[in-house]
Amino acid sequence: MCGLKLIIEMRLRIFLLAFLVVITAERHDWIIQADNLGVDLSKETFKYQGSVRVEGEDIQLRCDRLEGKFTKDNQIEQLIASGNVHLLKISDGTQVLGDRAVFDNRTKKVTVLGQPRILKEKNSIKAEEIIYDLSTKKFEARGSVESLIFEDNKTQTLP
Amino acid sequence: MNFRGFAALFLISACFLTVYGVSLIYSKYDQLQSTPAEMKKRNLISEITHFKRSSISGREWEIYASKAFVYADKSIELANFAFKLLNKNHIYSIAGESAALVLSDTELSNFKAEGNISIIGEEHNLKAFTQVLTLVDKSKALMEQEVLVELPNVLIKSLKAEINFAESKVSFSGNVWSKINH
Repeated sequence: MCGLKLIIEMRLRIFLLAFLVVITAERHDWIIQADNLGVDLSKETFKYQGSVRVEGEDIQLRCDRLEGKFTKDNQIEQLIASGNVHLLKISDGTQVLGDRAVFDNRTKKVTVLGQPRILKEKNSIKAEEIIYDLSTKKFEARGSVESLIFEDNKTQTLP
Repeated sequence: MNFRGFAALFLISACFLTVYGVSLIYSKYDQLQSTPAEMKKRNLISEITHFKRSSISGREWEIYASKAFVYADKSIELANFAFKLLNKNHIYSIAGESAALVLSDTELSNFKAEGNISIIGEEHNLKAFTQVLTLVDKSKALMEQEVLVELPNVLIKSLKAEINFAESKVSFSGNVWSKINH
């Protein structure tokens, strides 16, 4: 009787583990939509053009062009988004605007460049580059950071 | 409206309907008359089972079909075909339900395939599926309707796609949707 209970418990654990693996695997999928796409299988590069929209876990990116390079086993190495880059963290509505964004798959970080700014409600932060860490889900502003924060109808500019 | 007005309107409507009916019957008759002429023009010469042809060198391309209808104008219709294309040492295997092509002195042209087409490129682990495929020349193919391309970790759907066999490039256009596992 005890053995049967143990087997059931083990099976339940295996099922839960398998379910978690499936959920985790699903989270790593990116859905990319665009008007056109060109894939060069020899050079292992690809380029999306026209109303590009990338959707990932808690993140949405819109831009005019998206270029990338993949490895021999078709893993993404790097992604470069350019033209009207708009990054949105879906869960809290934080937006990042810029001219260019670079995603490095090794560090799992998106670096927004070209006069980037973070917008959240009325508040904004300008910097030389804004980095979004996909693992920690945190933003980091680097170089000549300038913040504009509204609090109780008062305006404060922080250097 | 008085009786005369109503009668005139009735006569005009009747005339219009008669003319329309006659023209409709004539167009159908014309269609029926032209069909046998079209069939005559094509003139079926032979029906071959286990059809097999290849390029002169036997290396550029090879085609196999369970059934082929060969016409006098050198056009051929294939049922359940398998087509092997060799380009720059890369082999592409194309298969589908039906295809139409022209063969003159083992030179292949006007290749158009329809119905559950699959393309497999072993070199790049490429798998492509579509309903309509046209071979533009021996190095390019145009895919239309329900285009689906599978690469390891990548799935792409679009309205149209063009495969360049010589340059190993694929261009997708129209509502491109892709899923990438990273």
